[in-house]
Amino acid sequence: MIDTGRALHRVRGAAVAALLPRRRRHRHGRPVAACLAGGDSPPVADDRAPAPDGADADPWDREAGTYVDAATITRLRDEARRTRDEVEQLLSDVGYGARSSCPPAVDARRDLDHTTDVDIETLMRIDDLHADRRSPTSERSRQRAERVLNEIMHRVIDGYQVEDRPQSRVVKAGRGMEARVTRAYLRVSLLGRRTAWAERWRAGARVALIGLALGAAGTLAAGHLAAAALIVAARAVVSAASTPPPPTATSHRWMSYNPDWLGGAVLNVGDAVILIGIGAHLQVGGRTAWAALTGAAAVFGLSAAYLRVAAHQEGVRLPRLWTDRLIKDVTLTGAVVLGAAMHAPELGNVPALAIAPVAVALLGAVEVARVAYYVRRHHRRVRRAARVDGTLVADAVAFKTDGDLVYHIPLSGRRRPVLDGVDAVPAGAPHGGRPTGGPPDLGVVRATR
Amino acid sequence: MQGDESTRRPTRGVTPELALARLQLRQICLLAVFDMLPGLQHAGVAREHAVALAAGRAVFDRHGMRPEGGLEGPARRFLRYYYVAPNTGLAGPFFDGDCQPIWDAALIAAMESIRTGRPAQIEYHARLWRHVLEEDRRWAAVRAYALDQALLSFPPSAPRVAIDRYRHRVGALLTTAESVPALLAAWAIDRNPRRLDDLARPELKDKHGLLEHRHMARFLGMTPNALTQSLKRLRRRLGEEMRVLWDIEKTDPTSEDPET
Repeated sequence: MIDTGRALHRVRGAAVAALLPRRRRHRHGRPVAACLAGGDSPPVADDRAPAPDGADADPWDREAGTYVDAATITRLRDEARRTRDEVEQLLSDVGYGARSSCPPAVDARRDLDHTTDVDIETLMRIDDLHADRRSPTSERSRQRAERVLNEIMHRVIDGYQVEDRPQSRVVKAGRGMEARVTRAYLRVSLLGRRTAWAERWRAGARVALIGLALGAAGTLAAGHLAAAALIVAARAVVSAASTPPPPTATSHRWMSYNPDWLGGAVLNVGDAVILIGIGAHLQVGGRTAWAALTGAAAVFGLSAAYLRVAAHQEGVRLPRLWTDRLIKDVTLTGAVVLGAAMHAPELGNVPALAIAPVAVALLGAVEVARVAYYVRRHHRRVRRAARVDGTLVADAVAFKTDGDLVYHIPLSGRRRPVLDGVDAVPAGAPHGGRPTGGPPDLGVVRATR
Repeated sequence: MQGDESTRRPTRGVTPELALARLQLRQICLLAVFDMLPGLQHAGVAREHAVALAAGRAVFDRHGMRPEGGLEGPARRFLRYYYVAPNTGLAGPFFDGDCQPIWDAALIAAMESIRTGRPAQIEYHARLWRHVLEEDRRWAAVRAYALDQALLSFPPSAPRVAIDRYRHRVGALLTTAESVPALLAAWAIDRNPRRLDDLARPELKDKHGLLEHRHMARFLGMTPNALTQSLKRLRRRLGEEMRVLWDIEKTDPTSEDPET
């Protein structure tokens, strides 16, 4: 049954709504709340004092108008369109979006937060550390000061960008592959497990690795390729099973402390020893030129590996690549197995065993290129960071100390001085402030990105 | 049904926007911004809008209310009262006293929530957070915070070196700590003593737009407890810096103050 009175009321309301301009209807007419029927409606506002619309109104005023004009609607639509991607990304990062979240950046920021106290303390001690380095009381104090200074320089120059995702697809693919290889090595490793076997293995693995390398070199030099193939394959398995777990302590990770540096040395030296064995085999077979090249590859590969270690000691962070280990293990084993399996171990005019030195030489070249790139980048950042008074240091807050130290912040965007230009609490204030005078030492350099 | 009548919530004092809060949030948003949606979206949500209108009218009928000119006004008033008003504390430090960006954020969030299907509350918080993170606004808020918390008041006997050192440290803390946006937003919102007015109602559960710690924590990728601890650390650290500076007056014999 139709409620005639209500229907008439609606028709009348619609007619009034259609005839009157919207703004006038709300601003100068009765407020909507006042038009609600029934005795429970809130008090009617004074018509002579028109309620303002939208944001002009007091948000707590329940009688205020809510009219939004066409120009505002257009502006809001434009604003929504302009900020859509940014908000979408923000929501994706917290798990509301279709795209996956980005925890590394969040973790990086959190690391920064957790270390703020330590960083500030360290920054305040920088001059003492330099003094310790210049005039040490002991060799140990000098080493300690240098290590802390190196760490500061790393944090200052490279900041916390280690977790930044690379832009290049090739680099992304390379890092993804490296991560997968590292996970695979860690999965087969025995060293990370808390078992009696693992403890025994930890002690014996290095001896086994160097013993197997020497054994492989000896059998290669003696011409027993099948035995050598078995030994080299066994060494690859042993090296995989003795992959050191990554340092769990945060301080160790930051200081890049490698508890198994001796294991790494054993592997690198072992590679060189096996290559020398291959060279000896080629020399015995009358391939003097290839033998010489193999020996050179052994020396070059070892030098490249220790060039990376040396760069690391100089503050250039170069993570060890497990893909490199995989390729070396596969090519060394593959070359010796191929040499043992083939009746005439030649690929064209190239001996099958030469695959190993070629691969090692190529990997060494890649390592040298990496070191050169990282050193150049490091030096470029140092140079830029040292220009405290310049304007081109990206996202950096500079603390002027004796050494022109620059504190790096990974969060992007323009930054202003925090306390610069803010007047102190005037004299006579409860805390009795006084002007500081002079520019503050906290220099903030704007990003150029 | 005498018993039912006695247990029913009295309708006296129920305002239209609170009566409307019984609807789903998406329905309220549809009522508020249906006219503001682009033409193409109208057709997609017309049926939903009709359902929301019917639900809204049913609610008003139950309370004996009869809004003139549709439900758009009460729905927008809902957004303003429960979204803009609790967060008006942000207006001073972040928006130079202007509530317009907060109101705009509420309306845009309502429009976008209809397009994306996400709750308007989440869209709104993301937009507020985006404003909080904007460099210019954030730095303005940092300055306001420093003055409000008297971080720039120095003891008369403190030497220039100590003051400069203090400024370094406080500046670094306010520059580097991850939880600073939450510190500023929480401080600004807490300055509004009426922020919790009328929010403790079951109709508003998960519907009002007050930007709380738990929402900030999510945007920072933390748990609420981690954010609380982080804020505690940061506040304690700022307090310690101030305490150290003020202790200079007692402990530093070589003051540069001309009076001493």
